[in-house]
Amino acid sequence: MNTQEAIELPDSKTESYRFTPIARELARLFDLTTTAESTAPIEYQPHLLPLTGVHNLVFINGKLTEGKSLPWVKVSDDVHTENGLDAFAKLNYSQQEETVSISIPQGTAPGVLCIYYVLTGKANVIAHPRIALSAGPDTEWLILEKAISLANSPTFLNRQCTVSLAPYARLSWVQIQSDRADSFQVNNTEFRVAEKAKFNSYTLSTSGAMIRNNLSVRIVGSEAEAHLFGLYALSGKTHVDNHTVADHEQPNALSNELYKGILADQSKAVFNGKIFVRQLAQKTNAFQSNRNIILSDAATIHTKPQLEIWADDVKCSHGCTAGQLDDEAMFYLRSRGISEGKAKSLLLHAFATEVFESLSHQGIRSVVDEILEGRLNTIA
Amino acid sequence: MMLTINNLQARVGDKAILRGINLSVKAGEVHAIMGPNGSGKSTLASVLTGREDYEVTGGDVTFNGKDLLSLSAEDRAREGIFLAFQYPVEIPGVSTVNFMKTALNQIREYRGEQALDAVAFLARMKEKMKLVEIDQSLLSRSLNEGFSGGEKKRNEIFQMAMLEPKLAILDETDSGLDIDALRIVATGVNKLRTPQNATIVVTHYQRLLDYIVPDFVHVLYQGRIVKSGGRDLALQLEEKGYDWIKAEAAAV
Ligand SMILES: Nc1ncnc2c1ncn2[C@@H]1O[C@H](COP(=O)(O)OP(=O)(O)OP(=O)(O)O)[C@@H](O)[C@H]1O
Ligand SMILES: [Mg+2]
Repeated sequence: MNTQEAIELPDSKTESYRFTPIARELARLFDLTTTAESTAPIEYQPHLLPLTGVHNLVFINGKLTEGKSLPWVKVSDDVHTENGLDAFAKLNYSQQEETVSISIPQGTAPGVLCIYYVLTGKANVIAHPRIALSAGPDTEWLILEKAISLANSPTFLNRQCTVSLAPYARLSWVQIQSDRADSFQVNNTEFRVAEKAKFNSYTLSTSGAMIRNNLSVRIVGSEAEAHLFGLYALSGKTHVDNHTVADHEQPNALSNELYKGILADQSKAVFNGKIFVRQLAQKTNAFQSNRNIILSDAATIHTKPQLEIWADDVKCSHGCTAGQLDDEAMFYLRSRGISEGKAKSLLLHAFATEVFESLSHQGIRSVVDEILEGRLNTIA
Repeated sequence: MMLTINNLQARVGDKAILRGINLSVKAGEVHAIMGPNGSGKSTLASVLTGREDYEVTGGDVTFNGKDLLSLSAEDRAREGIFLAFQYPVEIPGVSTVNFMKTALNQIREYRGEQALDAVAFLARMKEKMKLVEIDQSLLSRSLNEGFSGGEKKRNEIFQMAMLEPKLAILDETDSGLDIDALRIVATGVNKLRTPQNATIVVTHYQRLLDYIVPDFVHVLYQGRIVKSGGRDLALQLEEKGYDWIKAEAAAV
């Protein structure tokens, strides 16, 4: 599919992309006006996570291929009519007519849905999947997303998700970003959390070329709860940018955000956390924290909280830190016979585990722990 | 000779702290090191255990025939040196149990021994817990985090018991212990003594030496051992303080 005109992607003159020159990188490596053709069948099963008792959706180059028959999954053509979409969303719509709608109705038993984005092909491997998910009242689901590049050239995943939680819904959203070193991702995700719903997000980034996560949570009902957790543990030249928004539109709600980072080699991370508390949103509790351990002089972190508060009766806090591994702790461990590498990984592990403490699903938790463990053992 | 320290000098930045230490320790012996605040006792312990903040500017140290100063901190521990810290570090997110399992198995691997399986490890832990009367619940918590001063010291001796070092250096292990805890910890240390291992006790007070009776007492002052003697030297210090020693040192 071709676009009539090229969409202008935000370059480094755009404030929110100042530290993440993804437009430049994409222009260098891809022709964004076309999309990879669907290819011959591909053996992706061995690359899926070892989980049982879960539902799978598999997209190949942005098109849903596995999971179409699930009763609450619908594929529809969708022309974008909304205004004010960001450039990557526009690009997604311009290249992809399919929207995959997932609606989990009230009364559905708790479950887990794994969504895989397989990217494959010889050149210009780009995928623009688009998902709209709604979690019905009182449902309890966990959604996991993971990209799998099986191409022999760089890949670009530009995925769009809009998610709504009905009152009393409990939803956990896990993104595992551990793809190849030449994979690029932009993930635009918007969550709308209704009254008394409870939302948890976990974003684990361990590898890739450049990843931009725009994750925004709109609290549209009172007494809702949103917990945003993130961990990036990066080496090489991996660049991960998390732009998050917690937007309180209704009163008596809680948002709690904890993003932690470990940066080795020449890796780069950007964290930008916005908190909005609208005038109606009295008695809001909004907390945010971003903590980083920098393992190399060549690694960089740009971290910035942004608070805009129009209500007067609110509790808000934010903080960010960047430092090295604690020397005293390192010596203490080594003085007991623990090697420098192992001591590092113990301390990094201790630093990181907090992020996933509330992830209670056993199977998913061990998958996450294993990826993390592997990452921390090699980063140290 | 287990440990031979020969004219050891060390500094931080351009500040000389150890200015020519000589000390020999044989297997089976207990040495007490005393001396005024700031004289270099903890620095000596740090240099012996391989802390990199201190720059060794002269002298050498031999431990069981090996050039100690050329070994990394972890290899010194694996060779059998243990330091009970004056100020144990709090490490959130790492439990003592997990920490000890890792340490013990890395030490065993270095010595070409099999890793302990879970059952053997647990049995050893139970035995050593009893020795210092430390509670299991403390050990499954984050290492030293929120521990009382006394609990931290007890945990140090528990770790010593677990690792069974050849040379244990106890840096003011008595400070922060109540009277009962002092007796328990000191009794534990005594039980760990064998003819094959040695202990260096750094302390300010005779009361610890009532339990852990030293064969030799040394006074460290301004980075040098200025006086050595038998156990009665400690009693003398308790009675007279350090002024006479300082005067003697000044006269040299
Ligand atoms: N890392 C360091 N940086 C700067 N000065 C140091 C450092 N470590 C030790 N010193 C200094 O070296 C001297 C000796 O310190 P050390 O801790 O060895 O004394 P100590 O004999 O153990 O004293 P105390 O009885 O109070 O424990 C002190 O003056 C101390 O301030
Ligand atoms: Mg000291």
